[in-house]
Amino acid sequence: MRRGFLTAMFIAAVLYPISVQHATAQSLPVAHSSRVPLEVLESGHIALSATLNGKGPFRFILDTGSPITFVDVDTALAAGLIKGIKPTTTPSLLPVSMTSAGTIKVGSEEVSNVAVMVLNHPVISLLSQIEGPLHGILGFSFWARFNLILDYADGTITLSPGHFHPPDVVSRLMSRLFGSTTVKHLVPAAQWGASVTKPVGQKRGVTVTSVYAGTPAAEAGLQPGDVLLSVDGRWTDTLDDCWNALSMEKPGKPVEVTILRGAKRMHIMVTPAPGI
Amino acid sequence: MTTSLKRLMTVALCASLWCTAAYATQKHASAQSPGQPVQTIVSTQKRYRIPFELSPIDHILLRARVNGHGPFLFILDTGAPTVFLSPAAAKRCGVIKGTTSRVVLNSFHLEGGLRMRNVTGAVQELAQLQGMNNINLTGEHLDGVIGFTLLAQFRLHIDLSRSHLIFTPTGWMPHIQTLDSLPAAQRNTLQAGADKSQQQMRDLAKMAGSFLSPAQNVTTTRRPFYGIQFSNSGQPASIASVIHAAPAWSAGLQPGDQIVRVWFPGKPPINITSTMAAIAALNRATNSAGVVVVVLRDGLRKKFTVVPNLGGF
Repeated sequence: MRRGFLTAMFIAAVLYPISVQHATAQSLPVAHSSRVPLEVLESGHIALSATLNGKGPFRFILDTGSPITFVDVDTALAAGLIKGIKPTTTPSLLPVSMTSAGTIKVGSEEVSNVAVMVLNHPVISLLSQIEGPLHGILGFSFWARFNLILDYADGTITLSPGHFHPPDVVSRLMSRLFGSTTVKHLVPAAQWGASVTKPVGQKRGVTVTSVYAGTPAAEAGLQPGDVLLSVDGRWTDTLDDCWNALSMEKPGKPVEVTILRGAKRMHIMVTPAPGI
Repeated sequence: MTTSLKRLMTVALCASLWCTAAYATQKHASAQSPGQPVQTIVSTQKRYRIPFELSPIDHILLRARVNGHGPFLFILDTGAPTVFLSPAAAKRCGVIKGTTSRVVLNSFHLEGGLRMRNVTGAVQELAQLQGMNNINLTGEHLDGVIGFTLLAQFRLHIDLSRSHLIFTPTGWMPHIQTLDSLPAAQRNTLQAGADKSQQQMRDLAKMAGSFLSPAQNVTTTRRPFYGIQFSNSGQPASIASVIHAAPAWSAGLQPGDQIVRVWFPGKPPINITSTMAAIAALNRATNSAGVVVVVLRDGLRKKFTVVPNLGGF
């Protein structure tokens, strides 16, 4: 009982900032883009300049590995994200607050209601000591809303509004942590007209066992005995991998398939058809 | 410890990933030390389409073969200074960990066709990876992190609405400052700080593990093949063609048949009024058990049992 309660509290706390973000994900700006300096730090991190609620600019680490956006306590106070908390620069992994930033603006690109955790991240504190002042981490809740081009060599980042609609993270996480066995049903998105098998002991790819006459697979020249190595760049070393790749290939769109025929590696184009 | 404190600290574990590894191995993360083999891109494409998946907690996951072994699962992480490989994965692909954790990976092949040689990396048990693996958060085992020393050689196009990321080689090779090159006082501060933050993450991971049981494994099922094409996407569910020798053909289905009912053994029958409904119903198949399909042919209802092809698509 107690364990269930703790777990529920944990979930609620994790999901709060995510749900803030998702509830307002429609508020995307219209089509335009902004190219701004990307600072490549000697520590192997990248930083950029952003304003919060019109205040700043502040300097943030851009981190594709962080699901959450972090802002340090003093910056959050300066930008009005939090109130009534004593300024502090003491590093701690203990979040001071979970909130949503009014607006975050990079170049001319602005997004609102980004989920933010207010916390003096110990690593940001460390990095600040040798890289100059840093004020937080821009994580998934910020960058996933953009179409991004990171150019390390050029030292620039280009942001334009994205068309990504995050899947329902709430239900995904709930079912991951609470659900009984999670079943992922892999459904090919189009009809190819071939059968494959995974012979015992075969390391790479799946082997074509039959090709139905008159189908896209036959027209593309696929033959029984061919080893299917990849579909649209996705490795097909297992039947699950193969079906996962097939689930992304829509009817009517040509897709490159890599096969091994005897000792010869070949690339062929297949245009799968509608059907099941 | 109060519940709310536990709750908040566990959130930090889940949320404050990856940046914490920053300096922990920085002293080993020099991209191109003198005498070290040079990182090179072996394949010769102008750009690479790299397939990715998004994890349940919003990490970009990439697959790579290391020294011909794997595939291993990596998080794409601009917040990590180098390529990190877990000790278990390193052992599997024959990477020898010497006195330092720094390694050079002879071959690194990223899914999507990007082959590299002599990739600089580090073998380390990252507290955050371990923590997520312990509670089986993604349902797949995470083996490492792809960070700066690899990523910086490319222009990265990240658009999560697309099926692939685009990596364009720029020919630029980053130089990375190492901890060793810093004044001793600064170096010690940083090393101590990095060690402390990894320890904090480890403690958090342990705590989360103490009150979160591991999530269940993900099992997969695959939809088998019938060999049916429909006349339209609306109503009714009229069959346009049946592939010769395919399961639907062997069962006796014909072009012009209208599917009105689909019935899996042991399940309630599903009445069908549209192509969408027919596809949705037939998509449910997970094995090669016979599916009863009732069709309207020349005004009469006829029943067929289709044995779908489990290995077909």
